Amino acid sequence: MSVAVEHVAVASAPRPKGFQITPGRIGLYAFLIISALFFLIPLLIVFNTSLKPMDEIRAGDIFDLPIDPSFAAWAEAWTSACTGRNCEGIRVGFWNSVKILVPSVIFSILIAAINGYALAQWRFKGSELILGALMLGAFIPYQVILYPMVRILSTVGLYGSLPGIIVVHIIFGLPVLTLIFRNFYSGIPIELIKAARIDGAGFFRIFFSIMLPMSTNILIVALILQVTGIWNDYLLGLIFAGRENLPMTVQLNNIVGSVTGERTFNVDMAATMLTALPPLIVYFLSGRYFVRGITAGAVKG
Amino acid sequence: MSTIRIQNVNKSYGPLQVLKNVDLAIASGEFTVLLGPSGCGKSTLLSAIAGLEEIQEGGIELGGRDVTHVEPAKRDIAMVFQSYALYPTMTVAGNMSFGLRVNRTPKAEIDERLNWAARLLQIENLLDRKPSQLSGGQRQRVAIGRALVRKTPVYLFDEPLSNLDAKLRTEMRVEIKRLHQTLGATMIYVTHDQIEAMTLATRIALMRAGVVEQFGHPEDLYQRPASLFVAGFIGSPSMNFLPGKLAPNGTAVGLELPGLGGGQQAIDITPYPFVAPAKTGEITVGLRPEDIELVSDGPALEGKTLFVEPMGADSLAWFDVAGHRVSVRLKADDGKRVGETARLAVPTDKLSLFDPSTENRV
Repeated sequence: MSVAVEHVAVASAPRPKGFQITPGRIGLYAFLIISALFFLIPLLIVFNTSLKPMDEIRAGDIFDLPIDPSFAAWAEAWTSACTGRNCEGIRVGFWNSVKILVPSVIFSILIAAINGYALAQWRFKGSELILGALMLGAFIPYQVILYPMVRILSTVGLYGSLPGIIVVHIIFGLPVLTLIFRNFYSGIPIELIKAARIDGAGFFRIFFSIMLPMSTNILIVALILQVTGIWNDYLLGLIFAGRENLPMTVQLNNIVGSVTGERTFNVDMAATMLTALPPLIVYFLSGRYFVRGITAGAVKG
Repeated sequence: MSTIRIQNVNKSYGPLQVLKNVDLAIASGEFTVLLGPSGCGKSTLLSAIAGLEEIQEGGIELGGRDVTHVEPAKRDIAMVFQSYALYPTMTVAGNMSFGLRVNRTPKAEIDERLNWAARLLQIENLLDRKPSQLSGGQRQRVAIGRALVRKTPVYLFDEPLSNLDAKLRTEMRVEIKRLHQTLGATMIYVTHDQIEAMTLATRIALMRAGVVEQFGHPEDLYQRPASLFVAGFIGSPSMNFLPGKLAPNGTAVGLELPGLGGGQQAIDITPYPFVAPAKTGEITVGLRPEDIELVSDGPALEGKTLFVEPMGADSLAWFDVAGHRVSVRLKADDGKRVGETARLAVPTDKLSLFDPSTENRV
């Protein structure tokens, strides 16, 4: 709360007096602009190329602007791009990704929030141990877990199915998310819980009536992390989702990789843009909250 | 019936024992203040009564019911916290009615109690605000209101005024006293402020290091402190202590003091109400600053004046009596007339004697 107030104060503070162009300032801006370009140029090239017909791509340079911009390649990528013999476009992958994303995000955040709340505010026997185990879990590389995970899932009959990939995403999201929520809830005074306990509220009542409504900023941080993380995932989707549920990223790779005759750069680029669009939109809409949430205690400590 | 019985309660955090054999019996409708310096265990004791802290030994009865292992929600208590602990996302009305809503009280009754408490605390116009839009004093009122709507027979206060400024604190102190008179409920109040304790309490339990040093009426603690610690803790400026010697002389008891002048060896304190068998020999003598009088003749301590502090209503004069610093409370006018030396008369009926080895009253 106080942090948010601070931010407003900083934002509305008048520009320091004596603002003038100094060599230091020129250097600073030059560095910032170059850094921004470094990350923006690939995106611009992809977008630019996706708007060109193949003739222009063949004839010109990748930096040339399209003479006759059109979204024809986007339509083709969406509806009829081929992966091998299957020519239904990338939309199949899009809807698969949505089906994976929505339940994974909701359940991973909900479970992590409850975990974080329990670890931060209810010091029970062994809570430190569980926290330690989570810390360890957050730092174990994926590759180590992949094969055991495949064996476990196929034993319980979830390997290669939609519930399977959802379970995997939830599990992989939990350590980091739990730590983020625990840190956030540690900052909430314990007296609040005590007051609620005397008022007669139990574990879940306190969580849903008091803690969750206070967690907007941190929920948005978790949402962004999970949406972008799960949407951009390639490895887990490829391994655990099964042929029918391959996410958009995997399908994009298949479209780009399956070449018959000439490589259709504009369709590939359009498919790439379509795949990258959801995380981009999420960032644009909520970047402000992301910074606020991080400073509100998410990633500190 | 809302008596409170605390029986031989013990509690430790690891090797540190924070409550040692605490034993208190509180009558219905009493205003009990748990007083003591930081870390004396007073807040822990309150938490134990509330059920927020487990105790390792002993028992707690509320209204004749053993609640030692009962959840806080089922103890029929309400509590006000030092940090107010208002739920930040709820309005004032939401904060105050939360407990009732959890317990599924009918809507009409919630509204009725809410209005009653809001009127009592004069916060009717704040009901739709969020806690962040309130001042400290208003938050404190809401926190008290949240406890009041529960209409429990026992109310617990954990240093409720220590986050307020001095003026508000005095106002709220009066308010709490008025509430106690209006409601007639049993209240337990934790504070480290002796003025709050003296003004509010029907009885004070003064604690030190997990032990209740004295449990009694405020005047008792002030006039007949049970130990050196109680004597030194209560009263500002604190009680003067002088090393003396008891010398029985037949049936009479004489007290030898340093700096005693006027040709006297000892003063006669035979009427002193000894609570323990008086031993002869070393003794610590306690004198309240307002009990000492400046006299021109008769048996008295001879002191050199150090300085005089004018305090408006009265003055505080400091004297050096045979190397010991002694404070005397004087009328403002008398304070101006103090000379370079003075003769301090010892009130034989108002002094306190302590055994220097046990630090207990004799």
